[in-house]
Amino acid sequence: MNQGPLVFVGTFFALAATWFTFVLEPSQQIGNQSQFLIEDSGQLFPVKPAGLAHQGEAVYRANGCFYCHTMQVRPQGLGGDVARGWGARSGPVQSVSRDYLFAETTMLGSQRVGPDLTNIGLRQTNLVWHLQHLYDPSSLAPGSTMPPYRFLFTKHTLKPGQKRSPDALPEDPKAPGVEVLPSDDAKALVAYLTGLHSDGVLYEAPAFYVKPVAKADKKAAVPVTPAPAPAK
Amino acid sequence: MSSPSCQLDASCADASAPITCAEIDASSRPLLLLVVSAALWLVVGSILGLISSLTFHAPKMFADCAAMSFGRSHPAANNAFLYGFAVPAGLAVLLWLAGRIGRTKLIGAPLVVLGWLLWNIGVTVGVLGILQGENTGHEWLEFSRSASGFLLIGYVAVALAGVLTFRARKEGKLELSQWFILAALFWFPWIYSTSHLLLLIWPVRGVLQSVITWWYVNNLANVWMVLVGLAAAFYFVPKFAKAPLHSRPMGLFSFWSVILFGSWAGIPAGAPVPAWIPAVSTLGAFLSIAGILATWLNLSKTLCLADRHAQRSLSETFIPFGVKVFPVAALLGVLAQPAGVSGLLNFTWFLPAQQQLLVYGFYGLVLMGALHFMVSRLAPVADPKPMFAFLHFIGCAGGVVIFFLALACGGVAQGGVMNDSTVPFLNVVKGTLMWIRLSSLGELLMILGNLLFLLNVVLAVVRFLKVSMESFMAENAKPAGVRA
Ligand code: HEC
Repeated sequence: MNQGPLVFVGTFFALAATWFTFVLEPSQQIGNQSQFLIEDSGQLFPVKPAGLAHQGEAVYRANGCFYCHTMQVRPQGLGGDVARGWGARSGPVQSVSRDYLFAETTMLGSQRVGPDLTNIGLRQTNLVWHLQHLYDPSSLAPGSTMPPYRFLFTKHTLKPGQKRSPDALPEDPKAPGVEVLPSDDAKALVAYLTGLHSDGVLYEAPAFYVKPVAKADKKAAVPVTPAPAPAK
Repeated sequence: MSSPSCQLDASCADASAPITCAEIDASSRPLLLLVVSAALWLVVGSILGLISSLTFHAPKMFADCAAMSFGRSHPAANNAFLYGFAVPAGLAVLLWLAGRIGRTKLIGAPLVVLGWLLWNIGVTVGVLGILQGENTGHEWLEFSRSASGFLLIGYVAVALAGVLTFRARKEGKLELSQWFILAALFWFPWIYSTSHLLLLIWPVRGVLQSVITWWYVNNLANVWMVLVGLAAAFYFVPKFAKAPLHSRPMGLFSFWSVILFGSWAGIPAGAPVPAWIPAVSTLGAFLSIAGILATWLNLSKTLCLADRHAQRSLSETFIPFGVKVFPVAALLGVLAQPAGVSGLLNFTWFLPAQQQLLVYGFYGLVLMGALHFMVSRLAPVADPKPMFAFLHFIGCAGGVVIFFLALACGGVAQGGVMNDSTVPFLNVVKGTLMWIRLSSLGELLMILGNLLFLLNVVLAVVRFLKVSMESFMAENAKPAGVRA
């Protein structure tokens, strides 16, 4: 008997089954999601990022920040995400599919060498901090393994009497008279980072606090009111 | 030829067969192109991998060099491994096995050469692109649109030769390996073109992109690579044991299990997708356990018949090692899936550890073993020195074991402290450093192993070309001598 066709057809159906389950069905279910009108505040969520932040997403992508940083906060009770203050919703559900509607590329990330960045725009609003951190992470977080992104900056020595540019990073006392200027990419990247937040109260991520079920452990019962700042 | 592995060809040289192994092997020589480039990319990938790990030894090292920074060198390394080595090496083995088992010459050699060329243009453009910041943002699918276009067409050309060769087989009834070969030839273009279309040409929105990426990654690692690796294992292991496979029905069960459930695992609990998706994924992972165990039992029952004291060729050390790694790597993948464990291990170094064990410890080693066998037949030259073989094996196998153990332990430790919010995040980071640095030792060993692999392949091909050239010259020189 020629078994070739049998193997071919079997393979075809197996492939079709996973394709229907993991490609077609999810697209049917969440492919048509749209912004959600939050009734209390009359605002739409998620918010479309501004132009500069959109450019910043491309810088984030090109430099592979997502190999070290995730952008997904797991729900209360699963891992320590909420306890670490990475979430911004008061309910048990944190990141949901609708949060990513306006990402040109969804970079959930798969490893946490660094902290989750889903809500970095709420946690760290200081643009200068971000720029300084990109230029030299260990100056703000001693012992950080995040690589410095000096290639996103230019550095020159000031001529005598020359004024510092208003854009320049704060002067390094060890290198007086040197000016470090962020490139357009660095500025866009920071606009992107400071614009990141997933805090909208949604139908699928309600605000109310659901009491953890009896068997949940102590950690899951950590109060969920505004998250404490991440321990540093 | 008196190398110990040569007797292994005996089963192929069936007296009734109208064609000899030597003829099949001679027709398969174009596949050496795929093998040489695969060996080269393997070395390039592992060196890029080491460069990316330098971040954890000296974070500031590449502060001014964008191309070598972690976020670029790391994906470049991974893609060089996957598309430079893993897929073309797999194709070479698939095509050669299709000829060997089907007792037919390789059909469509020009397609192989064309496909090889296009494929390698694609990989080169893709890897250089990543280093320059052209990254699509989808893990394992980082290559730009144009690069992946080259890959797809290149694959189709080579696989077409594979299908033609497969169809030219002498027997209708298929040997076990042939099931795996046929499924693998078709699997890749489907998953690759689907994800290429839906991520790069008409991109879907939001987390659908991530769902498709997960689907692709699991299909490539847990289905395609497993199909190719097992096709080789089910062919070679009985040869090494000089006995038939323990059980063919069990082998068929492995086949159906891989293609039915292999691709379902891998979407972690708590991902921002509808909750049924991780649930179905976990279910699929658990359903695959029986198949993994059957594969392990089947192959180890056959392997234990092999003569332990006989002198062993390179393939006879590499393939059994990979075969033993398979159940460990696959079961760890399943165990990491349920919410309880995933809550601890997801996002930690455990995942890259398990992944490396599967794609290098199992797939890479089985493939290197198969390629050694293949190269020694397509370009028959003397077997490498025992010292060389020893270093090569220690490099590859020892390297991957150290790498895996270091990062797996580090990952478990990291997961524990990461979930304990009283530990400052920077302490979590510092706690992993020792483990990551230890894993670099494994990386160094793997580089050594990969270099020796490349050396062996290139030397064999060069020596073979030299010998053929000389005999060609000698033949042509005679008439000239007569005239003189
Ligand atoms: C090699 C891994 C690695 C890469 C690549 C990386 N980071 Fe980090 N990142 C870290 C680590 C570790 C920390 C924690 C220590 C610190 O704050 O520096 C961190 C912290 C951060 C923080 C502060 C988070 C907080 O909660 O305070 C931001 C913002 C950040 N990274 C942004 C980026 C951006 C943007 C990129 C890409 C240009 C990037 N990172 C690339 C490892 C990395």
